[in-house]
Amino acid sequence: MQLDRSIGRRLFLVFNYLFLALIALICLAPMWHTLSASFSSPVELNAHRGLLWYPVGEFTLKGYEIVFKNSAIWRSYLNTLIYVVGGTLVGISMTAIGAYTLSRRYFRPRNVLMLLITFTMLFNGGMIPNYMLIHKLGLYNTAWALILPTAINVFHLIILRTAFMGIPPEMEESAKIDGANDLQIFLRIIVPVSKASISVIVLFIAVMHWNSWFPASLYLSDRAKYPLQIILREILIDGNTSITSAGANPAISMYKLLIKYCTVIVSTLPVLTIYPFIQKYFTQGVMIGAIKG
Amino acid sequence: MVKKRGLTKIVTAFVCGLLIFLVTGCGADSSSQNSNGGSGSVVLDNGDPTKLRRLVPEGQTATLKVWRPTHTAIGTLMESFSDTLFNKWMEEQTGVKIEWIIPVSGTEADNLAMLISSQEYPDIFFDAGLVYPTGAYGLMKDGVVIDVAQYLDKLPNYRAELERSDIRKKESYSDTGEMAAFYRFMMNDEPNSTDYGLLIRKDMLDKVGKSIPETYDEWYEVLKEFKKAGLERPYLLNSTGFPKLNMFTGGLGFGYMNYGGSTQPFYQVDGKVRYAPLEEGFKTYLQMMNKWYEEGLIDQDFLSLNSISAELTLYFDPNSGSYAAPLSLADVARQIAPDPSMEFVSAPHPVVNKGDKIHIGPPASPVFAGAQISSKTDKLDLALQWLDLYYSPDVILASNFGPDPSYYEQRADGSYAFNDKVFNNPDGFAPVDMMMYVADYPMVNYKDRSIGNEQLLGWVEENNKINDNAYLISSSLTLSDEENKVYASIMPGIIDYVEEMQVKYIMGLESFDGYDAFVQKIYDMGIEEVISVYQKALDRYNSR
Amino acid sequence: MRQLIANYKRHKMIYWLTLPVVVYFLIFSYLPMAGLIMAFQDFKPSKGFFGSEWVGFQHFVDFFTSPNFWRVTRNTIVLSLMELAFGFPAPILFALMLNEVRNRLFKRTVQTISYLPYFLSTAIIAGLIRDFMSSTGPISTTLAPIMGKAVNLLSVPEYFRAIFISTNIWQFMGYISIIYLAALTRVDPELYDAARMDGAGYWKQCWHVTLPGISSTIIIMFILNMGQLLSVNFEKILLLYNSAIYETADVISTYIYRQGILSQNYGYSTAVGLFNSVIAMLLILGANYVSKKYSETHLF
Repeated sequence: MQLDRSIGRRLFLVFNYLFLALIALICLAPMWHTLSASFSSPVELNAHRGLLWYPVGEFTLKGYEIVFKNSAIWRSYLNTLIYVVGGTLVGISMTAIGAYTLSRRYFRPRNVLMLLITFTMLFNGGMIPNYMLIHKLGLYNTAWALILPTAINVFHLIILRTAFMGIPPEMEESAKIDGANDLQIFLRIIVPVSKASISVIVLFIAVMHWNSWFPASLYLSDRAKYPLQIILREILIDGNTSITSAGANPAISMYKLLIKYCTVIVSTLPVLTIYPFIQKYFTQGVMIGAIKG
Repeated sequence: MVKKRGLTKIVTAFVCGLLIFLVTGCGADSSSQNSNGGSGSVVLDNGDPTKLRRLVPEGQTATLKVWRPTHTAIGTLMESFSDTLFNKWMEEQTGVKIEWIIPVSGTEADNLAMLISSQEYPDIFFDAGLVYPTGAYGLMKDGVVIDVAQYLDKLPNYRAELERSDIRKKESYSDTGEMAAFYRFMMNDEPNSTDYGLLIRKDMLDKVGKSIPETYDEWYEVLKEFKKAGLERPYLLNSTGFPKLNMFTGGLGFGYMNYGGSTQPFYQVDGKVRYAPLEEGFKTYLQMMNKWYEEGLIDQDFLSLNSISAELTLYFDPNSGSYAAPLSLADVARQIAPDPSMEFVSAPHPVVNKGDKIHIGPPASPVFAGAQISSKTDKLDLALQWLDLYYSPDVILASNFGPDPSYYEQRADGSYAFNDKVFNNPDGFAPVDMMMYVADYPMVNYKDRSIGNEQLLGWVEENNKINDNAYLISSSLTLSDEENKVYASIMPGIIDYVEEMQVKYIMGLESFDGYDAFVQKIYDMGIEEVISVYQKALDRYNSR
Repeated sequence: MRQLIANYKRHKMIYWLTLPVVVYFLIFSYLPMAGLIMAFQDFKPSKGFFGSEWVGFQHFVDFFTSPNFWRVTRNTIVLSLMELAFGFPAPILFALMLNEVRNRLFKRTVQTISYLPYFLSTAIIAGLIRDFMSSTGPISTTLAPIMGKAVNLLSVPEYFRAIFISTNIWQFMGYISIIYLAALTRVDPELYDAARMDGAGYWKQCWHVTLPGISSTIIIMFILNMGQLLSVNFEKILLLYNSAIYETADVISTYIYRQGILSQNYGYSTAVGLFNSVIAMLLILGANYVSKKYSETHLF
């Protein structure tokens, strides 16, 4: 029996590693293709079909040069940073507080509130009423228009709430005996214990703000306040319209495809650099078989 | 502990208070927009109203808010339309500052709708009719903009230009004598030509020893030769099966622009409205395309060409033989195609028999809707005078070629054209962006001012020569509310159905045996009602 | 009511802590919800909410009687069910497999890489898929001898669903699995020890400790997914589909989009959206009820 377990287990582990490696390869492929393409010579790139494993043609930085030459890019990076940091701070505090109170079993109205809140996830008045609301609130053309309306995402709220509900009540007992109130329990016990789930939600909120462009297109009228994604879209779409109108500039047209790939890298790289710092929170945990091989 | 509990209450109360403050306290924002009205509502009355002059007393400025779709030059060459040489010059001369409201590219239609719903009207709209469902006329009927016809006495320059020709009057006034906008005119009332056409590989033609095809049969022969010579995609088709802007199909006697939106898909023969799918020519086209597809003469993946970016990847592919596209791409191809021997030339609209004329092509009109003044503006006089100046002789040249003579030249025959600073800009900026930077939005247009080289001009002229546009229905046709309702309730379904079937016929997924049932279904869906509604509108237009 | 007041008196702080959240939803969610009235109006921006004509349920009737109603509804439901059957378990399995990995570096690298496709914009992914499925792409050329001719895989209605679902898994599996990975960290290590003491092998441990440990997360995610049944990834379908495969690819949102291009009928699109929301709510309520009966976990 000892032998069976060992062989079966080993086979499984080998299979597991291989399979995961395969999945990783499949997931890496499009990103690697994009990276390779972003350094490729535009002429070759335009003619190429299929996946790239290394830059095709002469290695070139021209695509990135064009993207960064755009005067608005640096300012939009800064703007996005503000929106992301602000949005995440406001978002996680409100979402966490909400998830906490709704997870307390002794809070009578919680199920009714949960129902009413879930309702808002599904029912939405649409663009026009939201636009009018932002105007009436005086938030139009301010950073708050991007931070406040999206402060609490119901999906995130529910995930966090589930996590909080999963914390064994015994953990709070000792604190309660010491006379701690709800807020203290939240800050001293719940939050530290749920580091994994909270970091997941922080990541989701941050990525949501980083990638978002639609609310900005609705609520910001000042180009100086535009976030990164809008500027990048502009670069991409402009490339589209220029080429099909009289007076297309061959130089820019040639780089159109190259620019597309460069903008993706430009917009993704910053997120990827901070990702490992957050990742460690939700990958640490119990591993079956870690103890006895 | 008591402190902590109190702290919670304070924090909570603060947050709630903040939210409430935002709700109530800042409602005043919308009213502050109109505070500018004071000084700007009275126009300076100094001298000849037809001349370019200051509209605002010396030492003061007034601001007009103008809504306007964006342009590729913004973000690349300049930050806002105020940076164009023309606008800077106008501001200097008139004392009127412009605050531009520019929606993010692609969101114009929704942005306009939201602006209107929340009653946040600007003073002037540029080109709003292009994105409003019922067009420029609809904006007036819905009360968003004023009826210009009532103010013509205050618009000496516009009036002068308007009454210069009958066609201008016919296109600008509605059936009931209203005028929804300040219309833009062509200098000599020729329809503005577009440089959209058919491009074919000259090097391949030379290789297989054929000349540029003129008839559909010749096209068939040429494409077959291309295929034999090894081209994978002798002819590119876009995902709807029909080249844009009536290219290629005109010779078969029908016009068909099945885009939806504010583009209507009808054409007319001798004043009678027709819908292409019901006509013989449509079936002929589908059968021809089907045959070409089966023989591999059409790009086998044409279905994926459903966006500009998809098309772009194939335009310069060595395996592409011919396609409908802006003719200026021939120049672009010369510079960026991977195979330097690739060369494109323009092929004329194909016809059935050599020497035939065609009666429809890309929509072309000598008159098109331009600027509209909002019905809620409190700077009406200023707006009227400012827009009127665009038609003044002092301004027309500058608005076409810019106030700075170093960017254009006068030719021997007296006509003007941009020079190399625009068309071959040393800093590498696109001509279309340079033109915007220099000149901006002319109300009276010089024909072909945006076409750069002689070869291109020649091709465009050739295309114009064999097309008399007799089948075109003017875009200034107007429908009443009732008629619009009929159109909107029946047409989307039909357009959708036809679009689905046309592709299936081309690919051979549907057999032509069932073609009559296809046409019958269109009738069953109510096309005749829509045609009769359009007929009424056309009759009204013709009797203007 | 009396119980409510008593509850408040006992736990004042919780009520006060909840207040900002409630105010937030009132202002930013419930206030704009009044705009749903457009579903019953022939809404014109120039007339606004108070001036537009009232049409009652006309939009709904128009939708239900529109020529392709059954086809698009069927497609939407089929795609969603397939998504549920394949797309839902995938991140869970992936998280479990990842959890078995001892080597930290390998685990973190694979996890990071799996998250990457989520970042690529739909436009790029659609472009890659189009290239891949074209008649000159690797799959077609390999299958050409068997099938007779090289075919553009995106022109065959039968293949669309498989293409769509599999690429969805590829795009989102890594991103969603993070939620389950976080849940896995919450499983008490002592439970594993206890199981091992009882002689449980690895599979038994998984079945009796791991899965129950994250069961609450799985159930909640399932309930939420039920609410998504009538909404499919609109932008992706729009970029991938074409008229030859409307038979399987045309869904409610793309159909409404095409109809909307013609007339910008906000009332109509709001009505269809409202219809979708009502169905989604009913599904969530149903799933919640079932989970209440058979497990300890439920949403409300």
